[in-house]
Amino acid sequence: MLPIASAISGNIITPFSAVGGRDYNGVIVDSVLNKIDNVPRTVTNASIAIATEFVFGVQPTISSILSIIQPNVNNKLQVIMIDRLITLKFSKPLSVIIEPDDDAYIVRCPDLPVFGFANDPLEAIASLKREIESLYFELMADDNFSPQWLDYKEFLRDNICELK
Amino acid sequence: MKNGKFNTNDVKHTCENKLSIKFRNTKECNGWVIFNNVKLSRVTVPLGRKPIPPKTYKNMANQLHLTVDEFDDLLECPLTADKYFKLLRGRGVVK
Repeated sequence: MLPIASAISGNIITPFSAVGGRDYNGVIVDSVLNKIDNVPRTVTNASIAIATEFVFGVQPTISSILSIIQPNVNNKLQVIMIDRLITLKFSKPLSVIIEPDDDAYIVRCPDLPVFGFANDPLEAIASLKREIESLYFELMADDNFSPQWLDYKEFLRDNICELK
Repeated sequence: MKNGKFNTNDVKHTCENKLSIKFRNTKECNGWVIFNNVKLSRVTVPLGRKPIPPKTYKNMANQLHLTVDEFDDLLECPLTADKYFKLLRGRGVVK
């Protein structure tokens, strides 16, 4: 299955268990999600399962899919790295945290004061991507911001470029 | 935390009326708090949620540089726009 995952994503899928001293489960699956944004969700799920198999060496099943995208497993936060937005991409992947929020999901970005929200974790990630992208264009439009926002502007300018 | 008491429309209307935020009507409803022509805070109000889940409520408060209790006060009325900008001045957000 690994060659399929690599063929779909064309990017490195990296496991990690700790970020900033906190306990997480996470993998880079964003490129996989991006590549198949326009195909049915079943294919998306299958690709995540492939990523799961690659990382953990387990048979891709529904439960292994959920272990990736259901943040409340083992009461741990889930982190994924996003490297692409909609028309923009990050020069290095950005960590985002997925958490259940009642019957929905919130996806936060520790480096930026934005969040995405939806009933489904993948939709919440998509929501966060739209938020970051719109924030980028708003910040680039002028300089009438507080010093804190000017710092975010610099951060985004340094780390984002257009998708080719 | 009084998130169960408010829905997203309550938050949106309070932000519009008290803080003069102009929200964009896109998939993500967000807008800027502007003071003396300087953009200070950017808040996102999820569409169609009733009531607002706790973590989302807290994140909205943080986006406005408020604690959850202060955000409760903003929505319930005790925290006026004047008091809000005074708080931001105390926190160094407004120069």
